[in-house]
Parts: sequence; C-alpha cells; structure tokens
Amino acid sequence: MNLHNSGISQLFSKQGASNTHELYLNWTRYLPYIVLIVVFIAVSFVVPYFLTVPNILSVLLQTSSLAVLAIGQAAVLILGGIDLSMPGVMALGAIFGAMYMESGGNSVIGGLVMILVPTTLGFINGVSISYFNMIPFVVTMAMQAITIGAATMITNQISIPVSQNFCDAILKKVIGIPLPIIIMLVVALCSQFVMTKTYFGRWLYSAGTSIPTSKVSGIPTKRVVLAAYTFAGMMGGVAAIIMTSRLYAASPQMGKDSVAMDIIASAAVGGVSTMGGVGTALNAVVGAIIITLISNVMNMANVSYYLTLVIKGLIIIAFVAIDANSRRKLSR
Amino acid sequence: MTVSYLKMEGIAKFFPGVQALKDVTFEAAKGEILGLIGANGAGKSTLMNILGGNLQPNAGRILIDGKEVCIDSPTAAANHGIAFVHQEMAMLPTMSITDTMYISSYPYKRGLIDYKKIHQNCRSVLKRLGCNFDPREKIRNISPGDQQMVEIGRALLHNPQIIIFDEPTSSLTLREKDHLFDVIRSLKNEGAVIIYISHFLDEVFNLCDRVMVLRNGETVGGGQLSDYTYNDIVKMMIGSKEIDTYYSRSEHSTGEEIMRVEGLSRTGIIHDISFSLNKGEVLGIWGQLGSGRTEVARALVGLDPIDSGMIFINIDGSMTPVKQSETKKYIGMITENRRKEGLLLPMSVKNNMSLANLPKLTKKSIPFVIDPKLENSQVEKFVSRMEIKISSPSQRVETLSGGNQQKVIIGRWLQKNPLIYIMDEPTRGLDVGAKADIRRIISELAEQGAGILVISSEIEEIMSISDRYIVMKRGGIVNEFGGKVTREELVAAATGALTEKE
Repeated sequence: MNLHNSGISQLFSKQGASNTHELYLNWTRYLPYIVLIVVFIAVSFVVPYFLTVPNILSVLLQTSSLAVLAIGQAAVLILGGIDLSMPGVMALGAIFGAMYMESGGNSVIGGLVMILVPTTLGFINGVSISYFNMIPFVVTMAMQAITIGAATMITNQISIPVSQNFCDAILKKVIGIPLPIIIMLVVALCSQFVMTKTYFGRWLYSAGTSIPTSKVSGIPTKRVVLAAYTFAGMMGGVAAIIMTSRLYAASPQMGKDSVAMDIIASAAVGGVSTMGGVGTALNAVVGAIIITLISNVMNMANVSYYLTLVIKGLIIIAFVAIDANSRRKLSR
Repeated sequence: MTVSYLKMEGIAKFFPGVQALKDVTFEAAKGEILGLIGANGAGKSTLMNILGGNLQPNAGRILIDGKEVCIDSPTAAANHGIAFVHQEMAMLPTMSITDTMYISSYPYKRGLIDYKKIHQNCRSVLKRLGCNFDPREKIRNISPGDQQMVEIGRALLHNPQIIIFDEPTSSLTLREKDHLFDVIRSLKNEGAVIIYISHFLDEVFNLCDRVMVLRNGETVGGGQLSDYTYNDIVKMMIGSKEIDTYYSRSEHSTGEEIMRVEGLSRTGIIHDISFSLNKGEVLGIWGQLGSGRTEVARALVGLDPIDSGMIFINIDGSMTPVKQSETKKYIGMITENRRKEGLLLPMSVKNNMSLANLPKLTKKSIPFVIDPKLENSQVEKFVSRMEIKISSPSQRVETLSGGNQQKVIIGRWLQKNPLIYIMDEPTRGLDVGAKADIRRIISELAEQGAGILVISSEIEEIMSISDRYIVMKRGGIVNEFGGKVTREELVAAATGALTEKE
C-alpha cells in the first residue's frame, strides 16, 4: 500500500505547497520514517550483526504484539480518544484463555476466548464513552485498574502456562517468517485498508476531526466511537494470543501500566496524532518498530528500567509537541 | 426633564470591514429609564460595550456629570459608576451566590477572604432586590430568574449611578419579568440612570420613559415614549430602504405537503411549535435572536432534544411519523456555525463534500469500499454546479473564502439530495456576490421540488426568498404570514408590537 496515499496525505493535501504551513506539514509527515531510518542506522553501527535477516525477523517478532496494540490505539486516537486499558484488557483475556485451556479446553476455543474477552471489555469502554458520555481517560484508566486487579487476584501473581501445541501453532514459521509477524502484517494491511478505503474509515477521521460537523452531516458518531473502542479491545485480544505464545504462559505481568506508555509512544512516534483525525495503521506499526528498537538498545546498554521510563516519557512529549505545533501553524 | 447626567457625543466605531457606529450622540438623565432599541446588528451592543469599557471608540467623547471621562477598561467603567447587567449571565453553577457576586473583587482580612462581611453585603443587596435567599446557596440550585437577580446584585455592589440592562428578560418567566421591572423602577426612583436594551417593543413601552432607536450604527430617532406609537418605532427600526435586488424570487406555486410538525416542545426553550412545509416551498422563520428559531431547526434534526411533539415526513407519498433521531435521513441541515458544525477544516474539499453521502459512493462489487472514481466525479459535478472556486478537490477547505466554504456545505447536501433543507443563517458573513449566489441556489432547489426552511436575521434576505413566513417570539410561533406580508408586519410581530395591539 502506497504510503503517500495513506491518511495524512489524504487529509492534508499537497496542493498549494508554496505556503509555509504546508511545507511544515510535509516535513512532519515524513518524520516517523526519518526517525526509523536514523534509529536503524544508529543501531546497526552499535550492533554489528543487526542488519542480518534472522536478526531483523527477531526484531519484528518482538515488535508484533506491540504493533497490533498500537494499531488498536491508533483507531482510538484518530477518533480523538485514548485507551489506557489495553494492557490490562489484554492480560485478562490471555489469563481467561489460558485458564480455559489449562482446565482441558480446546486450543482453538481458548484462542477465541483470548480475543472475545478483550473485545467485550473494549465494547464496555465504548458504550461508557459514546452512550453515557463518560471521559475516555477516566473510563479506560478505571478499566485498566479493574482488569489488572482482577488478573492479579485470579492468578495469585502466578503465571498460567499454556500448552506447547498452542504456542507452536502460533509461533510456527510460514515461508521462513514467524506467524506473529504475518499476523501483524495482515492486521496492519486490513486496518489500513478499512481506514483509508472504506467509508467507516472516513467516518472515523471525520469524527476525530469534528464531532459536531460529523453529527450534523448525519454520521452515526456514537456508533463510530463504540466501534473504535471495541476494535481496540479486539486488538488487545490478538496481542494476547501472540504474547502468550511467546511467553509460553499468561501472566498479569503482561498488563502492567507501563505497557500503555509503550503503546501510546508507538502511535505518537509513528505519526498518529493524539489530538485526533490524523494517522493510519501503518504509522502505528512504524512507531512500534521504533519503540522496540529503542527499548532493545537501552536494554543492551544496561540502562535502568526507570531511566528507560523517563526517556520514553520524554519521547512522547517531544512528538506530541511537534504535532501540536504543526497544528497551531496550520490553523493560523 | 432634568439635566442629563450621562452624555455620549459623536461616538464612532470601526471594525475591520464594517462601520458599526457612525456619529452616535445621546444623553440620559438621573431618574429615568432610556430604552435603546434597534434591529439585530444596529449597533446597540457595540455602543453599550463602549460605555462599559469593553471596547474603545474610534471617535467621540463620553461625559459624566458634565466632565469628560476616559473609559478604557471595565474597571474604569466601574470606577465611574457604570454597571453592566449582561444578557449572557456569567454564573458559576457550582459556587455560592456570594462567590459569584464577589469573584473578581473579594475583600481580604488577614490574607483570607472576609466571608462574614461579604455574606452580609450580599444579603443586604439581595434584600434591596426583594430576594430572601441565603447567599451561601449554590447558583445551580436557584431558578434562572433568581440568577438574573444575582447578576443585577453583582452590578449593584459598587453603588453604580448608571446601570445598563442588556436583554435581561430573555430567560425569564412572566412573573420573574414583572418582578424585574419592579426592581428596575425602584432603582430609577433611587436616582440611577437606567439604559434598557431590548428587542421587545412591548417591554420598552411598558417600562421606559424615553427611547432611542439605532439603525445601521446611526441614531434615527428618539424622545419621550408618550409621543410615539408602536408603528412609528417599527418604521424607524427598519427605515425606508427598499428590499435589495441581489436576487428576487419569482412567483410560483408549491406542491403537496412534505413535512408537518406538531406540538414540538422543550421546556423553557420552545413550546408548541406546529407548522407544515410543502414541496417546492421556501418557508422563512423570522424572529429576533434568541426567539427560539435556531432551537426549532436543531430540534427538527435531532441535534437538540425535545420533550414532546411529532414530526411527519412525506415518504413515498404518505405522511409518516419519523422519530427525531431518524429525521437526519431526509433533511439536509446547514447550521449557523459554519466553522464548528459545518466543516472539517483541516480536510480537503473532496472529503468535506462527500461527507453526508459516503455510503452511496461505494463500489458495486465490494460493499463499504469507496469508489474513488465515483467520488471524484460526484465532487467535480457539484463543484462546477455550485461554481465553487478551488484549485483542486484536494485543497484544504479552511483555505477557502466564506462563500466558497458555504457552497461546499450546500454542495455536500445537494449530493445527498434530501427531501428537505434547513438553512440557519445561510449567508451570514458572506459578501454581496456570494449572498446572491446562495439565494439563487435556494430558489433553484425549491423549484426542483425540495422543501426549504430558511432562518435569517436580515429581513431583506428572508423577504427576497421566502414564499411564506412563520414568526417566532420567546420560543413560540406568534404569527404566520403569506407571501404578501410587509416588512412592518414582520418586524411588528417579532417585537411584540402587533400582538399587543390586537
């Protein structure tokens, strides 16, 4: 899929590039790709074997669950909302699925449970926000507390192992590429297609740009909001399957609060606006790769967990500042 | 007449592109109530904002008690004894009456707010207004009428000599209004200069001693109210200007009923709105700002809630009751707030124009997927039909002029081709040429069989396009007129002059 035909350029035209606002925007549009290339080059200098096929596949495998989560988050951010509950929702889904399989349940149904539980929780977020006019930040933060609390209580902080068969099925290689990477690509391409080629996508961007205008134009804004949060929940479910397989277990650790920061950082760095209306699924994937690389480098350099948090927080603020600034220039 | 206490002389005020006031002179004496009236946009608010220190005049001087004064801020106005009771009440719903009244001028005692003192002051001010509530009561727990009293109480805190009331009755019930008038009369008897701004002639005749009429930023007349009749004032308000000929609608017949509204009500906002609209007809809703005309339009498409009432729409030849949430399918709505509710500003002309019609722009083979060719051809068709000046369909809509933006919004609905259009101030802020274009489009739509509801603040505009009129006042319909109505009749009905006399 052509990047130039993706959301941002679709929304903000290239016409009349003579004026400075447009030039500024053109520059910020390519920022995620510039950052990705810079990070790639930097890492390949530090790590000699970095640019080998096995290593890149391993980086992508590592990225896959974060990327899927970031795609879900992107849908919500494009709408002008935010979902802080994705880690907890994912962990709870993983735990329910693992418990089902541990008690002798079928692996396929176990996988379905892992998707359906987060989807339902996302649906609850969506109903609260669209039909009860609750604030996304508060609702999803509460949902994160509820899910992570429940997950910890149910498991007593002990990981629930999942069967080797299940993990092997998910991690198996297709033409040499691990299945999670293919899942990530399929999810990304499908989401990209829906966002940029269908009218659901157009409704998502218009609702994220202006709810009043969308309402007056007859767009079912409440249902669009509901759909976006439900989709985010579902992506939590897909990520739950990938993560559980890679860890050979479901654990409440998967849903710790700092994961939400990785997800939002991925979306923001990738070029999804936290103020709504801008960004695509591919942006989220690019952002997830960047964040994964940064995490890896800091890991290798023995940077402490806490300093890593500080750096990621700063990255989010820097990118949101660039986004806000480009909008300010635009609306002047 | 006693000697004038306040005098404004040769006041002029320019805004970019408009001269809001040109050479306005008036005086007011202590112990009298001066009514300030004029149509929407006549310059009443500008004039009073200058007196209240919110705006600076470009020319002219203000004299208080014979001395020239400079009023360069609301604080300066307060120091000169001028108090402004605003139309939009600046209330803090979750705070107490005392806090609301003192929010900008808390007295301190040893670093803490001296609540004992201000509760006492509040109580005495409220008593003067005939109110007996506890100043510690939260604002949200008292009625709009009582909130208006609090607003007046705030104005009275600093013992003003000149009190300006700007449309103070717009949210009041009849009883609250009577009480307010008693209060205003007693303030007059205490020797204050009262300036009373109103849309409603009946109120002005009831309350005021003298009147001044503004039109297009000029004083067109005034004097003792006893020398005038309603008719004289209405004539002064609208002047002798002929209906402009940017566009004049030709006579034509209208078709069968397309929409009928029965008993639409929302407590405190609109009541018992019933009317019907025919195919090929332009129905003008005329009324002052705040008469409920916009609220009716919004209620019809489900943007505002209603408490009761039915909407019928002619679907395939029979009048069918339609739920308020479903009417959007049949009605194209153009709101008065173009930037906030009409456009997706950072997006392209194309995205804006397809917005209402997306499900119909899909490929035949794959559901939900937009057919780019179909979309582009539709957009181009309506861009050329509406004569929208753009460099390309991907130009951002916020870079267009107001007239072209409005055409984008109308083009959006044309593409969907609804049975009914509702247009709230469709030409507001547009230049003469764009206004004429929009009016021509409205007429063409009607000729093609759509039913159109138009709201406008400009009497010339509404008269140049409407076939029939309903006149609203205070949330209700007060009159209906056919095409032969005169401007005097419309203005008289909306200001209450007609109903009072009959």
